Amino acid sequence: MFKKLLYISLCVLSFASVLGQSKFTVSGYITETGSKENLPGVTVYIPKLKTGTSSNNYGFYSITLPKDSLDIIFSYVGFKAKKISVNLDKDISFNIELGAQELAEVVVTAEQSKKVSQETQMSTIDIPIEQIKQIPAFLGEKDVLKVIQLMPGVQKGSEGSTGIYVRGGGPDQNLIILDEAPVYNANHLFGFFSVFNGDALKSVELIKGGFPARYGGRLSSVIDLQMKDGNKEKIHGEAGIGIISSRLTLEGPIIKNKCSFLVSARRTYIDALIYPFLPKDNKGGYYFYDLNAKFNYVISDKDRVYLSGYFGRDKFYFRSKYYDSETKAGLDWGNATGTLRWNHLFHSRLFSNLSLIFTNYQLGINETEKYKTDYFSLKYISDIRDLGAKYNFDFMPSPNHYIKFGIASTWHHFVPQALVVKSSNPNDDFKSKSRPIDTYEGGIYVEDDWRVTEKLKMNIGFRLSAFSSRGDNFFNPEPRASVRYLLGNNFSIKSSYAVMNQYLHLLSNTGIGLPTDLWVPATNKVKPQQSQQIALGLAKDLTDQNLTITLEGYYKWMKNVLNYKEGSSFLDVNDNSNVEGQSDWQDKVVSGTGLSYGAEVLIQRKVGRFTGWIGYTLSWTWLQFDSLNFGVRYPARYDRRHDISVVGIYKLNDHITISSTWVYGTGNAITLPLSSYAVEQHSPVLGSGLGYTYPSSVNDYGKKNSFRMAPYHRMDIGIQFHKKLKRCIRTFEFSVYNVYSRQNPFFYYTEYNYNFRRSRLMQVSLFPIIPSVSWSYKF
Amino acid sequence: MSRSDGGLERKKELEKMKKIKYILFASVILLSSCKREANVKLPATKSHPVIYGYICPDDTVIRIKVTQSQPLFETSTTDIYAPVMDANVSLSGQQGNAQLVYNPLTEYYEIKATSYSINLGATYKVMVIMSNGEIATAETQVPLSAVPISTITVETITEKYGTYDLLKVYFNDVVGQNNYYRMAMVYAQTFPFQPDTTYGDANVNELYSDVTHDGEYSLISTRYYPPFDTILFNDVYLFNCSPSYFNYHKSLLNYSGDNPFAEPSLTYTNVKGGFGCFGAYTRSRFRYKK
Repeated sequence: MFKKLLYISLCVLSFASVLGQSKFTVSGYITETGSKENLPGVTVYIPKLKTGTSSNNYGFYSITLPKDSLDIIFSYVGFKAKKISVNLDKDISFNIELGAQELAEVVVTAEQSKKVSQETQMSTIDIPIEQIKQIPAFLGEKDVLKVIQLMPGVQKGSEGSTGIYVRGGGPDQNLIILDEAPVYNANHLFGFFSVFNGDALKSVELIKGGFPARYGGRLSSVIDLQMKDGNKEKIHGEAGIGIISSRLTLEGPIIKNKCSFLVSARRTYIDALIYPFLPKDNKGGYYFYDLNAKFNYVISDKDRVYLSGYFGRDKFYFRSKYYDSETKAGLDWGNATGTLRWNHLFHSRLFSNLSLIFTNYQLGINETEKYKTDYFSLKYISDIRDLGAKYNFDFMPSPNHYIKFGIASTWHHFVPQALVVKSSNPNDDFKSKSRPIDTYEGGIYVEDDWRVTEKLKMNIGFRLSAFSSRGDNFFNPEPRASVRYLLGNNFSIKSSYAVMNQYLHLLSNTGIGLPTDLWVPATNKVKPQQSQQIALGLAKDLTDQNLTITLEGYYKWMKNVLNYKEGSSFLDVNDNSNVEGQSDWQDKVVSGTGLSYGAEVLIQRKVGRFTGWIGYTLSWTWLQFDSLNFGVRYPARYDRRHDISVVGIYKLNDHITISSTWVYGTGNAITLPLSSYAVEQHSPVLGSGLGYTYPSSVNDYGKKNSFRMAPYHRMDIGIQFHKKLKRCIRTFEFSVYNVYSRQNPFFYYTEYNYNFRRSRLMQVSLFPIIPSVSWSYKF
Repeated sequence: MSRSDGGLERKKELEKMKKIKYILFASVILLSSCKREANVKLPATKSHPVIYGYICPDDTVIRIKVTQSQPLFETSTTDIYAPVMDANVSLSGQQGNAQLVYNPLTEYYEIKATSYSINLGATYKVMVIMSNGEIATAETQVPLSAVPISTITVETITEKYGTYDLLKVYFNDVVGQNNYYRMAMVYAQTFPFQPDTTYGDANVNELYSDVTHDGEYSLISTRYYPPFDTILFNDVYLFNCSPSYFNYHKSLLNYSGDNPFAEPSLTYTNVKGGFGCFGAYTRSRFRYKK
């Protein structure tokens, strides 16, 4: 019934818009030659009418044009552009295949390439996966999130970490979605690697502001990752061996051109290599693995289904034996996601996608001690589970309107903390479980990418988000708008405004991306986070040099952002909550406001022998909590005045690619103890004051976050040798992380030195110069 | 009725949590590879006066303690627990200025209340001038009234880990004011061969503010593990405190020490030019014997 109504109303709408104008629609899917992989974001341009559109996330395009003989150009970065001529006197379904460009052929004309100056959307960066694979990486592990950190407006938390801080937002404020499924903890190995295996990815898009209405639920960014569908024509594979991990990807048709699969797996093996050399009674190690799998089936021209999943796990383990005693301990965490999607074409101008989404993040800590017949075991679990559905529609009534609308609904199930202790002494038995919390999050949205005049284009959208948690209901309207005005042929001014609401909070007080960071829902006591952001920018395409230059300024207000109370942590061993029955996480946190503003410059070259970018960010980020720092606003830990990244990739020839990156960032703002003094609490008994209570002395820290860590800078270089063998292409890569072995601070601590009779500020650095090699084979 | 309960509710659970902390911490330490003295410019810090004084209209002697802070990154020259004996300490208020004199027995600067009285609702300022000329000052206002304890209940509870008294102090919060309360307790005992009764601080330190419960019949409770079996009686105190008194003691309760997983806790001070706390309170007492 719903489908019928929808269909009828949209048909009426589209019919009205074309009535009497003799307009017809060209539509179809755009795929890659040789693999039939859907290509999203392909520019579809009609030179005669100076109009166009682009393919959506599933490679589908549709454009409705007046009756005429027209040329249509399909172009995509890194692919040969294709021109077709059509005599438009009826609706045409036209599937297009684009082939990859050879290096020698890199000639992209101004008309063909996607121009930043033409796009309505601002604060958005597409990163070609191929480029990610060419950038030197830590221990040779190519990492999408670390490449995103090299973009202006994006900062990393600390050395080696994949934590992402976008425009003053925290790492919890990023909506990281893999095939529509949110990933709650994108870190392996305490954040040194991200969970995304580049071999399984097709595209990555980062949105920092001016969010389209189809996205919601986080304040600061959207990182939209799409997995490859799997080659529909031939079996292909890719295998890689690196210093810390190996990976294997297999993809191919199940039914040629109709149905295909992709399986990609990665595992570290340092634990397996060192295991035999560890003493028999003291074994320990660490590993992570992840598995991506996807299956897709083209049922008909109108229907396609995709089933994709991700499963990853990190595990630390330790086992020690000493005579009659045995200790085992472990720490493990991981995500699992699953998405079932159904694309259906109601009409050549109405595309729909229904997604059913599952995601789960779980952290576990366990310890077992045995001594003869005595035993003690401890198990701690923190868990979040989502079940969701989204129904999205793309409606393309005319070249001047691209309307998207849809509805989304998610059920979140949280178990913030569960602790079970069992022992041979029943007195020690203990079980505690924070009450599971079931919440519901929903949203409806509509947006229109509207070409008002040739120069003026805008994306106007509206989202209504809703959240229900333990009887507390929140409804929040979220207006969104982006405007582009062409100042010249390839030069535009852009502006955007977005309101975002976030109904989930991440409790994190380590700042180093520990898996123990805890997701909790908004409640009546701990309100949803909200942000408003305005941005203003200029975009220029220098088509002769294949360069794009963007300059953007932004101003962002955030409210109800969370922080732990001073002295509190999730493992609150010093819990002093003195209000009965409320010693849960809500009492350990405080909410406050955030303010971030700054300017970003990006000069980028995506095409040619020499590609890469230069990014610069100037920014300020402030936080204010009534009960922290005595109510005075203070710079956020990740407040970074200057952030520079330079990335260069040069293809010497078909066989050799060299690349280098250099990054610089102002040091993190931290709170440093400056002096120490004795404590005298008031005692009703004389002489029980000074130094008799806990603490007997305290430190003065000055103002909160008033000390700057040493600036961070680092250079990495890499060289890749590609060789075409009989049945495969072999790539050998040698890369060096931190070429000049800069000792960047990971954290500071104070240490009292008895010789000097003073404390010294000690710095712990993680990674000096680290060379690495890796091999990969693509067949 | 608004309530405030003792802070030991989750003690057992938290003990277990400690284990988790160590597992985590060990995992992180495994990763830290290289340490050295940081090559950064440290903020210039010098020693400052530290002042402690809690004044009450019922006291017979007004006492102020003065010590000094020690910059962490400078070579140690001061004992932070040693009293400063040569400072100039004065108190000013409604009755004008008064000089306090150092008493080496108590190690406080003192003045008798008969010479300088502390009055309800009045504001007082302490000024400390160190021998090097450095000046620190602090101000506090005495609360408008003492808040009587309506009643007390004591319940002895036995559990796996021992026996404790669950103590509940009931009182009527003052209407129309922001009030800050502290519950404290003194135990009295006699020792064989000693004629005098001795008093000890039971270290009860429960804080409660009426910010969202103005004018309500309120209770503060605590779990008290009696240190001796020979206690004669206990004096339970309800202090109606100045905000500076409350905030300072609250920040000490939040003190996180060297917990690497916690936000560093800043200690409240209302001393300008130094550290410490100058607070005022009124008190009411309830004596009970078990």
